[in-house]
Amino acid sequence: VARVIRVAIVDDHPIVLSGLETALRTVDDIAVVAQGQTVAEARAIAERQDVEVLLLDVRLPDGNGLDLLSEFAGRGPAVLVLSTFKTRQYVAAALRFGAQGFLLKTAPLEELIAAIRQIASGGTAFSPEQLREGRGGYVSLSPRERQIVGLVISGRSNDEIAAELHTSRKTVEVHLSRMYERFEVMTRLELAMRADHEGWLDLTAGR
Amino acid sequence: MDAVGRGAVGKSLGSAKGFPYLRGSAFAYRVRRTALTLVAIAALVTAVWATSAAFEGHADAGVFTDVTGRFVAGVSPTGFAWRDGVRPGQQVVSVGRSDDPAGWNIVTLGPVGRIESRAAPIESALRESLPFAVLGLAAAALALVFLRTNRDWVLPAAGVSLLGSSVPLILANGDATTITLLLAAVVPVGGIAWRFRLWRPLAGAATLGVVVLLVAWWITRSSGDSGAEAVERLRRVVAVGGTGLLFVDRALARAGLGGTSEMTRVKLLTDAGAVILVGGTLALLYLGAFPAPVIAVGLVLGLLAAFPVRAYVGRRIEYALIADLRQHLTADVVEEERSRLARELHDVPLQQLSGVIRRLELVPEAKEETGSLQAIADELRAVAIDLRPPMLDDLGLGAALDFLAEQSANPGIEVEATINDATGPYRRPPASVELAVYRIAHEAVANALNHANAHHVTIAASIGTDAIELEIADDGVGLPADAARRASSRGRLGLASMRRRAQAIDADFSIDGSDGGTRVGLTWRA
Repeated sequence: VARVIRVAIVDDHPIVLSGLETALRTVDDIAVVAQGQTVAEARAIAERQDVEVLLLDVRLPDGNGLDLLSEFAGRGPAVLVLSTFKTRQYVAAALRFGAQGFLLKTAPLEELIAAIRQIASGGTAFSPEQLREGRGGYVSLSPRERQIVGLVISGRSNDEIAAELHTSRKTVEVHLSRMYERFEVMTRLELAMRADHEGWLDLTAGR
Repeated sequence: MDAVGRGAVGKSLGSAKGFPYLRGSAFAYRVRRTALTLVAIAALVTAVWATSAAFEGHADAGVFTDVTGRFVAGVSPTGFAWRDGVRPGQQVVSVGRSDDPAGWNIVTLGPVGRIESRAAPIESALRESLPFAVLGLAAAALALVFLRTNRDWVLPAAGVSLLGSSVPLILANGDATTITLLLAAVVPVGGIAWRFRLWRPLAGAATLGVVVLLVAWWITRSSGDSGAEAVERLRRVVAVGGTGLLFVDRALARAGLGGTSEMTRVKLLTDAGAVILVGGTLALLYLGAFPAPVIAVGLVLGLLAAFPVRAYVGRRIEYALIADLRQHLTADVVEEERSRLARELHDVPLQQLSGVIRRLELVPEAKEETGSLQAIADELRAVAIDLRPPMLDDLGLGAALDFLAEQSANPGIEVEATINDATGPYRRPPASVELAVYRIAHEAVANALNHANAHHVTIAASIGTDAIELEIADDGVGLPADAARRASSRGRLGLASMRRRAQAIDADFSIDGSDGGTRVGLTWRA
């Protein structure tokens, strides 16, 4: 007997909930073990240890699924965002807040099932295109910040960066501390990791 | 200056939230206008009284016999003789003829000897003052002309008129007449006090100071106190200073606080009209061009004519305002309706479709139908996004601006977004602020795309929970200030709507199209 993936669904529209549940019931290795309609219920579901994949809507009556996602920060179940809208900005936000996948609610069932399986096996379900588009999202760096981040990633110290850019160490520090605050990181390592992970420097200038 | 207070929103009338023209209650406006009118009328009455008094000379000095039969001087504290040291009760040595072309004179015996006092010959004073008076009237006429097109010139012109007509007052040797100058100064100082918010405390204090000085002057002069002359000098400084303040007011308003409103023009029309009337009347009286009664009749006729003229101009402006207001309200209604439709699309058909698609997918024969339902969903989604970008609600302003840049770019025009987004989950500026800033950006980008003939548009934004800076710049044909004003007053280019949205969220809004390309700037602080 194949392992059964325990899935929870949070969506405020009953018709979506029941549609998803009906569809997933036909799949042998997926079991819907919990359902909710609000952020509060989603939070309670996330506390449960038995949910592996949470299918989460974005717009909920008492809040925003993406905001909630950022609360999990690695704890809680893996999240597959099921959204009404899908633009680069949505995908970017889902990536940034730690989702494992992002699909339109109307995406074909096969895609949904494949995504759930992918996530349950420990992977992510973002398509290469989504990764490329969503990475960095609208995180935008000024040209100077871009240079500094690049140098941070290559392991330079503040003094070295200052020398390289013909500026003062103080200026570099100010730029960095502003970026720490903006991107909510504590150290240059975190900054470098995020920049690398989200591909900040791959993006075309200005984005 | 209500309309130019940097994006601040005061109390508004009814539903016209943030509508700058109607700030303050109608009652307060009426009180304000009435007060100004009363001050102007008081100034006029005083001007006529003081002038006639000066001409007849009875305010100055006279000769009486006391109980012992001596000829003694009787001197009014408002007269020139007083200034020269003639005091009541001094023995009169000689008096001149009242029709002496060199001016009437009186000689008395003071405590330290003879005191001679001579009034300036009125004719020569008039001759000297003629150019100034003409200048004053010309400036007044210019003020009226400019009033219709460019308010920045109105009060300086009125000020020049006032100053010009003040010169004859100072030259003519009548102290009594300086009181008119004083009162004339109350008008501009008071006017500034009412209109120019920034300087209201200062101008209010100045107005109060003028009134206090007026009282002090009367008391010291009537009691024969020796401090009278210091007060007198100070009073003149204040009177002329009041006019000077006009220039400061206008220069400041022009330098830093651009923006205009039709209602401001109405107010300026009233105040400037009063200032010009006072100045012009004084100038005419001192010119002696017409006998005083003729001038008085002319003044009355002028005042009578002023009301229908003001009513006419006021009505026209009112119609323009109503059209403007209707346009704004329509924009609001449309905005609300679009939001509602987008929400409905999201909540009902799109959700139902996704539910139905899920069930239909389980029916193998319905593959084609499932496909078409998915296509319908895609189209509905596009409509919803077009009605109101959903990322504005779901993801925030940064994402919406990024999307705006993405959507607006086309093969001919590059739209580049540089967004510093310091917001995050649970940390966003108020939704109303996000929407207003987005709409302003949308409007500005649309202008760049549709009117500016631009090739490159940049959206630069720095977004925090309590501060937002936005700049939208293009390399198009730019926007001369005059064109902007004209387009704005006709409700085109959406400038008025951008400005109004900025005002509604208490943000600073600027638009500059002078040096190649247009730049729209917005700064919001919580």
